[in-house]
Amino acid sequence: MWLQNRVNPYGKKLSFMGKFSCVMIILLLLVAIFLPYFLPYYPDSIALDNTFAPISLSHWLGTDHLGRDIFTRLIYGARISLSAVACILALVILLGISIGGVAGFFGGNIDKFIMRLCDLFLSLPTIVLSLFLVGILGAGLENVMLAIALTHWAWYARIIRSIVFGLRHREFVLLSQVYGASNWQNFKRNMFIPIITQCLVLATMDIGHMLLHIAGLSFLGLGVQPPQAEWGIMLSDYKDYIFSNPELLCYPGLALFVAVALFNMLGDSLRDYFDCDLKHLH
Amino acid sequence: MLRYIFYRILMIIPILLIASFIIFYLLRLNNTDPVAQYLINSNLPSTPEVIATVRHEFGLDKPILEQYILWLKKAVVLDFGKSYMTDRDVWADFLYYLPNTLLLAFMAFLLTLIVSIPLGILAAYYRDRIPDFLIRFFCFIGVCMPNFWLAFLLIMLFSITLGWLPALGADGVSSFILPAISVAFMSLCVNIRLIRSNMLEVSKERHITYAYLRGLKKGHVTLKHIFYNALLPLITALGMHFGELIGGALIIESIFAIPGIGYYSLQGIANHDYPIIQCFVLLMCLVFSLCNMIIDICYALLDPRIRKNMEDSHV
Repeated sequence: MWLQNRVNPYGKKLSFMGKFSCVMIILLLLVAIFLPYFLPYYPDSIALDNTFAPISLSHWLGTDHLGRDIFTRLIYGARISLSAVACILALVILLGISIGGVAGFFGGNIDKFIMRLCDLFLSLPTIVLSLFLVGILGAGLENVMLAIALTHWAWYARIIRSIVFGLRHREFVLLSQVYGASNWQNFKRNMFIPIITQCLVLATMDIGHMLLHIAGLSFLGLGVQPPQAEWGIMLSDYKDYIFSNPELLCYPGLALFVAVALFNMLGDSLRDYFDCDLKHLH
Repeated sequence: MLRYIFYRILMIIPILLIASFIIFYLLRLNNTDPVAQYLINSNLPSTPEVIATVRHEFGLDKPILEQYILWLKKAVVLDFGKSYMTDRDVWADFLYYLPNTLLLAFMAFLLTLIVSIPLGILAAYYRDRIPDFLIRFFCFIGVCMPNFWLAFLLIMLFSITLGWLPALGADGVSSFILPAISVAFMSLCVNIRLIRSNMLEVSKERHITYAYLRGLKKGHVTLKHIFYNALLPLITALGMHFGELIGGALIIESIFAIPGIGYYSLQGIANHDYPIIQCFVLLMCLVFSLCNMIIDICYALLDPRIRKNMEDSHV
């Protein structure tokens, strides 16, 4: 309630789409976290006597070319993708707040330098930049996460810099400075809430992008390594069976699509709710 | 104007130099070893003597700076060395693979333009009515759609079920249609949204109200007054999209078995094949700097205010 009054004094309501996607995302997270403990199969337990099993009660979505249960693999895939996204987001927001905050707070040459750096990162397309980085660092989930974080931080740094810069010379910030508040106190009291709400919106809108990104790199064989289950890997594993068993390709793709759609929906609704102007970014 | 273009072309050289140095240094700083990979791939025993010989052969035993200068001397005359694995000339290979990738990216770019502009205008024209909702729904789907999954769906529908278009290979324009659609789909939808929101922004301005007051028809105002003024931000976006399209092409190539640089450089990345990775990254840097340059020049050509500004500041 307190937070709501701080950020949304006009008492707007979250749209139906927003509520719906919020509930579904919580459900998805719960499933990804807790369901693996109750599943009877492991994602990489091979059963060569039971390949390409049809949909049945024991195998909800059938089995793949190695007899692995597809439903189990999808759930484990969600687990890997979502936890990777959570790590990336933590890293990106931390980098964005510290770098953008410093740039906005101190201005001058530091600001110019940091903004130039951001421009450099923003001018390269994210997928290509992360291909470079993975090419240099080598394949693996950690390197993919690092690469995605390095390609996304500049958006956050820029947004946060513009918020801090805008607030820096407002009367209430100057006043608290006159009263002797330190830079850090000032930042904490006056700027933290707007920054966090903007970050929240930007992050939700970004999660879909990141999910696609991780899956894309894994699909190319650069991210999560087989036999681990991940949606991108599953698609590239099953692509040889497109003629015989096309339904194998549908499940991971659909899972990815639905997850991305949910996060995008929530992002759009949150943007309207908090009334952020992020248009110039996306 | 010509002087400005010349200046921009000259500016690309230092960018490439800095980029090449960073790539070179980072590649050698990290702990992946191309020699070990080479020995595994060619079934050689990894005894210390063999490792030392191969290392010397690749020139990896010299200090990094010396290696860089040697490489640079050759790279100036477009000799990027030989691949560690295949022992083939890297530049010749790239010249063989690059046209396919560029063709794919270019077709996707054209598709983006051809589809997004009319749909964007339609959505803005019929704001909050049925066509607008349909187009927005289509865009929402497009933004969430993983392009590699879309590629599979397109193959299933058009190649397997209907049999209209080939699923694999790169012969003729028809085999580029499905890849181009799957590469372009996301950029296309982002672009439609952008055009729509830009046009709605412009339509709030006073000269649009004035145009209506003069009795001009809605279609005329939408096309001539609103759309033209909404074009400028679109150009930056299109430049960014071209980069994304090349990135998308790198992924989609592998699905449709198109021999392009995506396929080639992925092998290079997997094998830690330094000459290939260096050449690939440098080439991409060149493409993106050229893209940025073209966007800036387009800006200058379209907007006299910017042109005046640029000429004043650079010459």
